[in-house]
Amino acid sequence: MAGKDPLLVVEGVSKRFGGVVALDNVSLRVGEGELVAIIGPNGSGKTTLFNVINGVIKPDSGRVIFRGVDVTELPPYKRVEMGLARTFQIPRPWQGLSVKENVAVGAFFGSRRARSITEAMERAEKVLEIVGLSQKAEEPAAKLTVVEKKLLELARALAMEPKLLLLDEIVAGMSPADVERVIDTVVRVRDEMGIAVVALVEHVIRAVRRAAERVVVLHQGRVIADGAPEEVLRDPHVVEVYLGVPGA
Amino acid sequence: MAARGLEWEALYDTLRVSFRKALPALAIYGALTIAYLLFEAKSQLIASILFYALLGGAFNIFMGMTGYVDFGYVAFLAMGAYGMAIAFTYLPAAGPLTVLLGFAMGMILAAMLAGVVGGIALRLRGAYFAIATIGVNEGIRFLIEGGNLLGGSIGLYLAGRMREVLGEPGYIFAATTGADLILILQAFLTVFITALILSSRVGYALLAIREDEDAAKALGVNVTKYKLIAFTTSAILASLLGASFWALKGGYVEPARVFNIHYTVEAIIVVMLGGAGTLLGPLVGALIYQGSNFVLNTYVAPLLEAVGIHALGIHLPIFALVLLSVIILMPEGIVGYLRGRVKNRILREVLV
Repeated sequence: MAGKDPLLVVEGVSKRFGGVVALDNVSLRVGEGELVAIIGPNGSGKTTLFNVINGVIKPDSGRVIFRGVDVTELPPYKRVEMGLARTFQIPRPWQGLSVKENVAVGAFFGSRRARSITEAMERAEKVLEIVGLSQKAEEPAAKLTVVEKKLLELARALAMEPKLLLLDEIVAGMSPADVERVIDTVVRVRDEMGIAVVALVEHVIRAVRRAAERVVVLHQGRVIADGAPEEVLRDPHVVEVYLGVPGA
Repeated sequence: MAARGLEWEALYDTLRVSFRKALPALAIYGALTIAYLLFEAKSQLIASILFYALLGGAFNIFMGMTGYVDFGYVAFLAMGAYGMAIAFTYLPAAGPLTVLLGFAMGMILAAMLAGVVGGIALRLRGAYFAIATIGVNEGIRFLIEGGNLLGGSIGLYLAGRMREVLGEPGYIFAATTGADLILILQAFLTVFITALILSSRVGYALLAIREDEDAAKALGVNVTKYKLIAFTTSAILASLLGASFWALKGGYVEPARVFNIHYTVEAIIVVMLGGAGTLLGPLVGALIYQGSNFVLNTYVAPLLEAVGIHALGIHLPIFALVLLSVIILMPEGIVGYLRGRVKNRILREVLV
């Protein structure tokens, strides 16, 4: 669980889009170096929650506190400078740039901003090595496969040397072998670089259950469970949401 | 102290990388300079190629790197031209320094316009931005013409003032070789600034904005700040060109000419043809555009004229087709297209 001074605190965040309540009084804490999975069916508000944490969307009410600072009103770039990085569910590399250049942008704009192009490129090479994309460094990003694009997103985020990494469905649509590889990479960077990770996943696949220390379940914009994976997955309410017990 | 050392190291590193990137373009401009000095008969052709290379070069920093099309671009050249004209008309007491004052005035006017227009219009995307900027260009022109400001629609006549302020030999030098040498200096300056941007955080921010602005924003790029940097830099370089080529060399600043959207369109042609966002692109585009322009109007048009076809300006319909083909077949422009296909490492280093 989160320590005394959590890295990220989400406090009573609500967000509506017209008549749809995307987030309903969501609260959440993430400690330093923690690995948390947020699960929930499609439309449960996961991506909206990420967008609120990241600053792309402003909540209607509630607060986001990052590293002890209320960042609710801060633009995304300020949060990035403070050590927040994210990936997108549908990878959004800058198609016209090479793989290495994409990662270099991350190095230039992260929490420890590279001072020169040489420094940015060196860091990009190092990070591409970690995610296993070194062979593709000079290729245009547009030429990568979907899995490689997801790895590129991860590399770009890591080049920012964040304190907190938000992964949006990073393993969705991957083969089991790729899932293992990506999750191992995530766990390794968490261990080696001390980065806290919050990952959005639609389903708790085995690998996620093995890696995550905590699972938070979102349903219809509300947190319905928060705890250790085994405990949460036995929760009758969670089972009901996922399996649709009759009479619910 | 250690941190300070690192800062210097980073600065040195950025300058070194920029200089290496700039070398091919600097070499071509060097060759053009030598040609200008050696072949007097062709010196005005070379000066006009330089004009287009700079017209595209300044435009490239904003349009080429961010992907935003500024249809009001020519207004920044106009600011430069008016800056110089204002200096000679209203502040002639400074003597030869009036030239410097003129450039400074043009730069200030252009930077102010860029700040105001950019601060507002850069919040718009795509076609909305383009339309808003056309409005600005036409708006300023009608303000000057309708309000009868700064000579109104007649404009400001500089040549006489220049003669008074600089003396006859000084005037002749300033309006001919002097203006051309300033043009050459501007070419080197534009190349180096472009290389500096491409080799630093600013350039990477701009490319990320061009490729996907929302992703850039979410990943920590202060998009407004970097768009404004590019817009203002482009505007200031454009004002230098208006001040030297139109005011000093042309000797006359009239709104119908300096706000003519035709020049914005030519800037787009030069940049798209050569390669948007590349260092060599505007230069290659200008060589092809103004080179063919010269050949077509000097050699081909008289031939057609002889058989009764009025063909002056024949380059315009031809370039309409060329531009269409380039956009369809190689949207990255000539330099971008070649860079994507060349495997040789040295050639790749040259094609920047």
